[in-house]
This record gives sequence, structure tokens and C-alpha cells, in this order.
Amino acid sequence: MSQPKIQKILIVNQSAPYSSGSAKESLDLALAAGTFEQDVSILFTGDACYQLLTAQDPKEVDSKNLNQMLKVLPIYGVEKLFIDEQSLLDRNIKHIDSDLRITKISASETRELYQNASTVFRF
Amino acid sequence: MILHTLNKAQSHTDLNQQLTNTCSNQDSVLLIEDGVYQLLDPTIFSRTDHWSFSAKNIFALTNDATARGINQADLEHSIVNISFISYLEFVELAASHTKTISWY
Repeated sequence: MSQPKIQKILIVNQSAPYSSGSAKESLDLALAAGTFEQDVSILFTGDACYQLLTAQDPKEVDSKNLNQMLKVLPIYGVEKLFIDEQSLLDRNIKHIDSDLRITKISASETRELYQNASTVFRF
Repeated sequence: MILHTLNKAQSHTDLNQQLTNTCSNQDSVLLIEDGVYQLLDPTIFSRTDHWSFSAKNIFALTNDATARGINQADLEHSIVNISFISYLEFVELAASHTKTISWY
């Protein structure tokens, strides 16, 4: 059996963490793709910036802490995390969780991410 | 005297505009769920085209704010008159207003 081609997968997150299942589902896909040794990048844009706030305590709304779950991504080989800097500025978000090692990128770099991916999933 | 509940961030511009068009200076707005994210950006609370300009009282549900990493102490002081409330106080607010409108 031939070795399957490695896909460059771009997962685009644009949803706030707890009001819908999108953020959790995107994480599930990232972990699955990482497990199968695919080349995974995750981009946070729009309201997904809110996923990166520190000191979230979602047991108040009976959810798991997605911010903590994002920290396991490197263990699954998912290390390319990006955030659209303009989205942060638009929302006056000054502090994101520094444990996450996310790279801030410009609109043109964002466009490049989309162009270079072989598959794009939006959540 | 209406209690408006709003559960979306400011990125939902149409929804926020509809609330702005509806809210009178007798009404209260309660931020719930993703609505609490609006507190991170004090600049929108000084805009005349934002619902906060006409609302008499602005409340935020403490549980939803805490869940999302928003703490009263961290907020910039330029937002005046925001009261953080419990679920029980939410019930009291609903009872003390003539009606409740959900913006979602």
C-alpha cells in the first residue's frame, strides 16, 4: 500500500468558544488530523479571538475549558497556530494566553495561508 | 420599562443596531452569553450609535462573564454603570420590568 500524501490542512476558527459547538469541533478535527501526521495549521480570526482569553472558567456554563484544551495541540504535532492581528485590535483584546505560542499575522499573511493550504475547513 | 437581553458580541452589527433603534432611556440592557464580550471594548460604550447611549441601566450576568475570562476588576474604568448580577437577580429584573425582549 502506498503512503498517502500528506495534506496541508488549514483550520479556520471564527467562532466564540461557548455559545456554539464550533470551537470544540474544530479542535476535534485538529487533533484527529494531527494524530494522522497531517500538516495542520490553525487560524483564529473574528470572534474566535475570544477563545484565547486568559482566566476562562467555563464550569460556570457547564463547559470544558477550550483554552486549556488548545494547549495539548503540540503533543499531537499541531504547532502552527496563527491569529489575525486586526481581529484582536478590533475587539480591544490586549492579552491572549502566552502559553499558546500563537503567531500574530497580517491580512496579507492570512491570505497566503489560505492560498498555500491544500484543504481549508472553516468553523 | 423593558428589559432587553443581548447574547451576541459587537461583531453582530445588525443585531446591535436593531437594539440601538429600539432601546429607550427607560429601558435596561442585560448582557448574557457572548454579549459580555462587549465589555472588553470600552470605546463602543462612548459611541452615540451604540445602544448603551440610551439604555438607563446596563447589567451583565456574572456567570457568563466569568466563564469567558472577563472579570469585573480587569475592565477599564471608562465603562460606567455596569452592574454584574447573578441568575437570581436576573429573575428579579425580569419580574420588575414590564416585559423582556431577547436579542439573539
